[in-house]
Amino acid sequence: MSFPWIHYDPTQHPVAFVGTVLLAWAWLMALYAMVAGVWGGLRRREPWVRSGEHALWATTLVLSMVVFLLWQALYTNNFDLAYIVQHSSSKIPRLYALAALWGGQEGSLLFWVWILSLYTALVLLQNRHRRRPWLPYVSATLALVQLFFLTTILFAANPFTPVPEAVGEGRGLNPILQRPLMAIHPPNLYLGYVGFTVPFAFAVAALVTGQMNLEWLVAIRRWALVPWFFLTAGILIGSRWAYQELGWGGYWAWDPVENASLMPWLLSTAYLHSIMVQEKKNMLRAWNITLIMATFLLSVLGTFITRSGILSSVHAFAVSPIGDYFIVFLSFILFYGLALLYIRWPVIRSAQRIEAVLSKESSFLFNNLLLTGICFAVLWGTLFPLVSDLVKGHRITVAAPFFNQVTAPLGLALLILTGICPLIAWRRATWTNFERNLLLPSVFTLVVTSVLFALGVREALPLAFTGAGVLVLATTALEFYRGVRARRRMYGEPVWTAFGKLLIKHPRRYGGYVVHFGVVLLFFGIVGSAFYQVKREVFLRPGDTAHLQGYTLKYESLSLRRFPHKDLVTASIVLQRGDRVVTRLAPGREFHPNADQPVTNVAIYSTWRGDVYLVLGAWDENQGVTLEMYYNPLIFWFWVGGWLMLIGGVIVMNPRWEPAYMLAPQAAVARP
Amino acid sequence: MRLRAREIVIGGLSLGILLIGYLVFSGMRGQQQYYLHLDELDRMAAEIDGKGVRINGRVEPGSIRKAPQRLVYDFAITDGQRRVTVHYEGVVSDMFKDGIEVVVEGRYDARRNHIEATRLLTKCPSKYQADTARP
Repeated sequence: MSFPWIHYDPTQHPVAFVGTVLLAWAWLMALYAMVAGVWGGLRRREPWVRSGEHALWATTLVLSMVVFLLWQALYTNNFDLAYIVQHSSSKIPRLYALAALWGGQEGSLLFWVWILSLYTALVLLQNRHRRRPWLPYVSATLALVQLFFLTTILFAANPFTPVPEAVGEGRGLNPILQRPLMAIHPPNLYLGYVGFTVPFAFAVAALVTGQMNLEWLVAIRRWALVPWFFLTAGILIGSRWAYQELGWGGYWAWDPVENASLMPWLLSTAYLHSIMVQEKKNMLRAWNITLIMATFLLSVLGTFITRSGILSSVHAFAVSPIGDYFIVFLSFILFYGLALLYIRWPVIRSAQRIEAVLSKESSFLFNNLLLTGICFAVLWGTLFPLVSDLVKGHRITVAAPFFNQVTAPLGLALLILTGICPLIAWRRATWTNFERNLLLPSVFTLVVTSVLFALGVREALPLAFTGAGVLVLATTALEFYRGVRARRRMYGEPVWTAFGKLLIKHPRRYGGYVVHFGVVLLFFGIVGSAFYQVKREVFLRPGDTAHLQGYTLKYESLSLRRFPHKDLVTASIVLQRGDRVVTRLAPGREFHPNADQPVTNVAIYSTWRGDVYLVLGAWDENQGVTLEMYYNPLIFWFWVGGWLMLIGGVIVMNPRWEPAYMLAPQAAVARP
Repeated sequence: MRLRAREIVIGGLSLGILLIGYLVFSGMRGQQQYYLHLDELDRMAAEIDGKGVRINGRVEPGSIRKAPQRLVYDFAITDGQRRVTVHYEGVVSDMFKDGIEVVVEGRYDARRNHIEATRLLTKCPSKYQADTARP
């Protein structure tokens, strides 16, 4: 290990010197915060605990200064820093120069730890006078994670490393990343990944102290909800970007980087369901702790996969200098997490037992089984190249068909469960009640599926998915109907007032239903585009027409336009339905002088029935063009569903506490 | 003897775990692709003849042939010493051109030293950083 920054000459590389010294300062402070937290907690010395918290405030401040320093350097094109040479240039818009903070490995690790320090500050602010028994260990854990990232940054990925020889211009940012969606995708994803550190810290604190009560539960649940929301948003923005920029007609390719974000999402979704069982019944206590710790581990693994390139090359392990650091840290967390769990098992395990097969508790257990099962399948498929490399000496990858084949049945089962779960009561539901509740939705489902069958849908999976989706819509609608009817009877409110009040007064329950509704629409989009996508390639000369799903495409001409920073080749196409002109579409390609590659401009015409999606494949000197035409049925609903999930997430985050949950039995376990 | 709820639920969950395990491991069959460098492809040619492969390499400069008016491409990828020819139909990424690094997926034919590609990926330079970091 070396300390290269000692050699940074402040007169020659002032920004590199200041940035690195500030990082080292933050490192020291995080180290102190960790030690002070553990010491103050174990010895029960509140002044030490407070002192550790003050050190964390200071790291937040210092890291903010570091980030603004790097932002300032990016904005002013300080090409003294190697990071800025590699990831920015003076030719790109300034907004995207700022986005280069998370454009590369070094910057994004700094971004990670900065977000963590902001989260840390929020946690400290929120808990100045609350949850004091847990706070020493919460802040020590947050400090530990900060310390790890700062160590990695300082020793293996310092964004303030100066360039060996002066250069006048940077290499710039890939033009396909200079898009608004790409500017907001990584921050959302990182707010998700990083945010899971907070519930993880609360879980560690519960293990160390052996205490869990309602106050603790509120904290750990809310702090899991916030990153869940941002992770959902990040994943959706990423798939939207892939859909409209990459030009292969889809939005999800089971790429390791995508899988990396899906895994913590699946586990945190499982966690947000099973934590309700703990609230209501004080069950699954150890399981929940395990789940949230695994979510955190997968978040760090996800950052590692995304930022190291470990899975994108043929042989790994020597790929990136940050690899060793992450492997040590992940093993450390895994080992100590399991050890803590083992030691504390007798204290945290639940005393309550499940009372009936047909109960909300048991349906949540199966929900957890399916979500963790999908997560396991994705993890296995994603890491299999590494496993086979270790075992056999060469990498064997599994492609998209594997993931589709495995996740489809599990996703279907999950969807069905989403439909029937709300109908099952806590503790012990009666079969007669359950059957009565289920009758109307099942009849409705059967009718819709039969109609689809009569209309010619014969494939088993689309029918099953649509059926399950309709079941969820029906049961959810029934729940809303009942809630609205009850409010109308009790308070005489008009329908829409009752509906709104339902969402405001019982945000968790009805907000959750809104998320479920969104998930169903999302599934409709997936089924439509996965099973019924039409893809055709045509060659057209000016004046020719082509046909696609009832649309007529009339190709007019090819144009080349020159702009200061790019050249644009565009085919102009008139989209008609019969004789009626619907719209004009302009698929094209952009050529940027600084980038090696042109950028596809996909042309999309979207309706609720389906998207016309055109890619300009190639052209010749006589303006003849080869077009790749896609028709993606129902994909519109994928995005609507995504928006609904986010809206539902916002409703659920409403801080109002449902009174029913306050009655939950919460035996605080005494310190052993 | 009447089973208690707990036993039934645990039984159901265990069955579920077994089913998921079966799904995952049976799903692996037939979906495996050998992810290889070109020199390994050379060495293992007999073993992987007719199987799915995923090959990394650079597009040999001057080798790209495109069928007129169609999105049909024939090219070769190389590591400087060895080469393999590739046939691909479909839209190629914006980055596809001479000398760039690509990943090709498809069936390998050892006799012709040829890949009938089903997927052609060009590396997204900022998502992955392996290129600059690889020794």
